[in-house]
Amino acid sequence: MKKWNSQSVGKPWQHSFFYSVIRFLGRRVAFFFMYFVVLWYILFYTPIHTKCGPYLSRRFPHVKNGIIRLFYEYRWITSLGRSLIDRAAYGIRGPKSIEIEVPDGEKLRELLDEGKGLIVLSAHTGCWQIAFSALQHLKTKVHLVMYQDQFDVDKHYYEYKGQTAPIDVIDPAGYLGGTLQMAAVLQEGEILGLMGDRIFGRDTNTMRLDFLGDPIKIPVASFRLASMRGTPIVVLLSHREGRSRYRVELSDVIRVPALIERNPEAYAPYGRQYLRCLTSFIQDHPFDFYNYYDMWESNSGDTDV
Amino acid sequence: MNIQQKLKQVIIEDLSLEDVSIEDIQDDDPLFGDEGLGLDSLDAVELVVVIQKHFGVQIKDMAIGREVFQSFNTLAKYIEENMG
Repeated sequence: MKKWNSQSVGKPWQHSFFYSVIRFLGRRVAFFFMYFVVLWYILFYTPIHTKCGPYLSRRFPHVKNGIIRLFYEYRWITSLGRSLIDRAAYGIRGPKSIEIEVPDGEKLRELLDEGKGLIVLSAHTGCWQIAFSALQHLKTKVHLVMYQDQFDVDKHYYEYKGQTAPIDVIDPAGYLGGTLQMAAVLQEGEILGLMGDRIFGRDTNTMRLDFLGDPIKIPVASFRLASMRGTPIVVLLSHREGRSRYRVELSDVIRVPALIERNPEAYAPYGRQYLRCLTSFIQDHPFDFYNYYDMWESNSGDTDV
Repeated sequence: MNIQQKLKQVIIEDLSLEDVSIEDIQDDDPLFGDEGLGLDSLDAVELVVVIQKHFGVQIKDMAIGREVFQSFNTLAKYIEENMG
């Protein structure tokens, strides 16, 4: 069972307010309001501390002072706020409002030219949705495995103007977890985007690996799909770099050999390689990592993952 | 060896099913879920690859996949009808 949900803590009218501010007054005015809204949540909405605690206590174990901890929570949530406002601005005011830099374009092209498709393994960092859309410059169709809660009031950037998604979205809650569609994407030599830091619904295909000192469960799907066709995996992580700019970095290329193996633990070395990238990323960009739930929650005896 | 027998053997060998023999697989066994073979979603992808490799039959369409993967029988029938 997934331990997270994509629902915003904000009410629909609060989202509408911010969309209107972005549309008529711009991003910076929206940032101004957002700083106060986050302050209110930090001071008066106690569940926020439960959501922030698991990550911050592991990333900043030396911080024991409650006031400093609140400040770190504030920094972390305002970072998410900026990312959400930037995403909305990208949809409402147009792509020119946000600059996305995707380095290593040539390397990605080389990997695609191997003809086995390309798995882009990412995480909930920076402005990850826009980062995936930026891959369109490779002139190859991009498919993203993305779960959206039906009650989520927050919009994806392409929904603000009623546009259809510029990238094909595969629903992991669909038939057989969307895996047949994923396989078809790779068969066509196209790009398949997956998030490696969260698990979906009922799935035994997970492995427990250490992250920031304690085990978490991560999905094995990307590694097993890669091993079936010899598809290269690139780890791409994005972070905010400046007022209107995001940078997408190619952290590593993971090669999974052909393994005829159903046991998820067989893919652990490649899972660790991914988590090393993620660990290195959050050392440099601790507040650009957006997982506000207990990734480390004990699942002993839980087979429904 | 007929297609049903070969399919059972291929599934056991290529999907590395431990402690399962050809005799254990009933024709009307569901492929996925807790009953029957108990395959999971990623096994489905492997199954698609394996069927293409051994029988030259492609399962690309989701709607077809949903119908074909209902049970061992429906899969065997689909292969039989679509083999070159």
